[in-house]
Amino acid sequence: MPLKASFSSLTAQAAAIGISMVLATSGPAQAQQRNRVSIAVTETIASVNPYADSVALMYAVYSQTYGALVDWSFEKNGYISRFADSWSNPDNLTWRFKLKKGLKRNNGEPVVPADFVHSINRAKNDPQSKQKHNVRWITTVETPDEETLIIKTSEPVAPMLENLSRIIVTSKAQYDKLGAAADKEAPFGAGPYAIKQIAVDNFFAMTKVAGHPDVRAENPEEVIYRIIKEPESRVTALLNGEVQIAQFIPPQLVPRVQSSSSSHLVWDDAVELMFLAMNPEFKPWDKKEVRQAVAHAIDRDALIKVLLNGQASRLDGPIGPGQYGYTPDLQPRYSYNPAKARELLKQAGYPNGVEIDFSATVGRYIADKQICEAIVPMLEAAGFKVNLKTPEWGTLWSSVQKGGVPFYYMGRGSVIDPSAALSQYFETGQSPRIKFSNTEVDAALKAEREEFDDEKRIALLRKAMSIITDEAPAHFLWRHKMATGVDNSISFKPQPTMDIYAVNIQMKARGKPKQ
Amino acid sequence: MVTYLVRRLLGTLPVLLMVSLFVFLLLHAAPGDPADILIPDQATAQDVAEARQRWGLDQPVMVQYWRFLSSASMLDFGRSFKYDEPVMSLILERFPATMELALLATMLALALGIPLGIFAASRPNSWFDNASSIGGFFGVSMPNFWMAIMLILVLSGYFKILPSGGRATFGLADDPITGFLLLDSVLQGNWDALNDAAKFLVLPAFVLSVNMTGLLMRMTRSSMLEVLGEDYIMTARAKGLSERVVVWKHALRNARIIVITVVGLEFGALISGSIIVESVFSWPGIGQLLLQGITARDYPLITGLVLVYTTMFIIVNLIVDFLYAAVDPRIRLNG
Repeated sequence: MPLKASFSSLTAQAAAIGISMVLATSGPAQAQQRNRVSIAVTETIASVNPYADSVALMYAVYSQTYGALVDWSFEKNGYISRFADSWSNPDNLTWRFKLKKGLKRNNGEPVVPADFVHSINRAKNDPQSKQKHNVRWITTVETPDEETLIIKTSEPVAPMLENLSRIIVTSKAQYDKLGAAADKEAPFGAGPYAIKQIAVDNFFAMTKVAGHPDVRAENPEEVIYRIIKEPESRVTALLNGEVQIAQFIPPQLVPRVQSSSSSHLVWDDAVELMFLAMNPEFKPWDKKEVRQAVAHAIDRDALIKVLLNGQASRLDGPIGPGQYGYTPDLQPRYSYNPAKARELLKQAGYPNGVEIDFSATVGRYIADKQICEAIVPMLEAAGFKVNLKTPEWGTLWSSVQKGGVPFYYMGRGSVIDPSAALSQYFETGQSPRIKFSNTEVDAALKAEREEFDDEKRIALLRKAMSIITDEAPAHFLWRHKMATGVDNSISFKPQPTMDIYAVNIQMKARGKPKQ
Repeated sequence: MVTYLVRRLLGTLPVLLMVSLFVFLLLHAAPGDPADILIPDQATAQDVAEARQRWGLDQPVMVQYWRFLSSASMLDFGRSFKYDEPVMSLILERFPATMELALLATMLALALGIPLGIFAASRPNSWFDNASSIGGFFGVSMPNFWMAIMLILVLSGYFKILPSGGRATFGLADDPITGFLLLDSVLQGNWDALNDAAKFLVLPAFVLSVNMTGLLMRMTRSSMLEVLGEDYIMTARAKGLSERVVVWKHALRNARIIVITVVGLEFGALISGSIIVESVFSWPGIGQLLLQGITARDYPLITGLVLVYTTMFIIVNLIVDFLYAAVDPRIRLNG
């Protein structure tokens, strides 16, 4: 019986294979390919269909490969477009774009007006689309001539450009020819980089399009987004030269990168708002004084200094500098004042304190569990008796979405124009996450959406934000300062959205950059 | 033997049925709605309702289960909620990565655990025996996620001799034939890709093998010690046979049953252990896929993967039963 006879030799063979594997692999880890930049990212790549993902990473990736109808420019503090020379609003329900002439995809195929209609239709009707919310107000899309695109909405939507910045412009001709397979077999876009390969949940590779007006000689020829979720692995990969950019370096790993001779850190305030949500449908959160007591009970500065190593900017209101409508003069403001918090609890009818459930996220945001654990004694010092709950993210989020969580720690990302976020959390009937309802807030938010004059719109937004801050259905805490690890062989400045655009990466000679 | 095989295969059906029902009910009883998790933040209530309808979540649980069972009987586990692809194609795409890792880890465990156990047993209470016993305890008790991070820090971060994660350097491998990168590289004669794939395999495979190595070492040692005390071993030595022949030919032969048992049982643990290892090393296998499925409450994906894991465990144990008969003539596989 061969099996019988071969048992001992099998062991010996296995030993030989194992040892030879180890010997064969000794040597340095793979060196960085010339002119290739690998980026360690933390989000997922769920599909090759550009409409089937709704994570910030993939919007950015598809925006620089296929191209989006408009893009937000932090440098210009406004929207720009690679497809349109200009746009206007003939009335509050119409967006008219003057399209650029002679645009081509990276296979030479022209970008035609029908592509825009097709793209909006795919976002709306593709069975895999996770972007329907971006086009929910769009009723019709017309292209009366080769240079004009007219989008009509069901109601006035002043912040519509934010939604249109999520419209990825794909080719109608390729889709008509290949159907859904076009996303895999003919992913030809008009962006500065061309899709080379997509491995779902693994990596996304793209190459520079020679001669594209947005690219420069110093931009890398090839860029690969690699999903590395484990922070230790991400930092090690950076220091090991396996990747040249590593997103989201947590505070505890910052010293490792800072002490490295091959890499450095770049910082930016994220546009994600961290807050404590209080759902007024549950007692004691139906009382404004209780909500305000929470705002006075929490020492945000101490949390930022001790637990976040100073890597956050305190929020005194829903938004911070650089976000649309921000003003440092927004009132009211909440100081850390436990005595006042206790007094407010008494005024609310809880002289002996009140028992509350506090739901924390775990591993979703930077140091979230530790932050929530530190918030507990602060609340207890003000008279709350806190039951800290730490459900797994899926469980918590699902309950929040159904309005079933009374008091929780949460973040809201991608807030450049706060209109959508404020409406989502604080406008009556928009989502049950907080179930806050206030007629003045509703009126201000509705009016700002209908107001196309910037100054007037900002005034309305500020009015809504001021009422929300006073009513305190949420206590705004901070925006994280995001640390991105960057290899010294390149220069790169991240955006507050934490999107990484290849045209913002420049190759350079190795060496520690001047600080 | 054929009758035995058929009987065992038929016996797996109720097991798979029970597992699928248990997993399905448990998933639906668990808090968290896939639509809430997978549909974007900004989606409207109508978008969420449409998704629930498309995924069949608006139907009673038993109707959903019956639908799943009907298609699963044709090896179709439905479409993943998260990826919107057939679950089976997602599994098949990533299965080779996990199997490559698991097989190499098993080979490493065999290569290290058995010889170490034999040497320890042949020199009882020596420094080598004591050291390998401590090493065995270390292997059995060490959490693999901790060991993974430590090895990444030391071998990738400090010595920079191995990559910290991933499966291959982009652009080195040719189009896959089997999906097993080592095998494909050999078949295609792409030695750079072979070397590259081996580098990426070493750390995760080693981490995955540590537990099995420790257990194998300890079990081999104890069963060898028992066998080496038998009368027939004394007879063999009295006949003047060399110690090498006594140990490797006469003693090891009778210690094999226990080793095979351990390998069979541990292979299942190794496959499930790969979930953590794949996550730490960003290894694109079915372990990571399962983790993604669980996070997203992707019912078809989770149920499909659990059935695949169960089937693998059953098959490995079936192979173990056949190996028993092959190595021990006293064991007969009767229908």
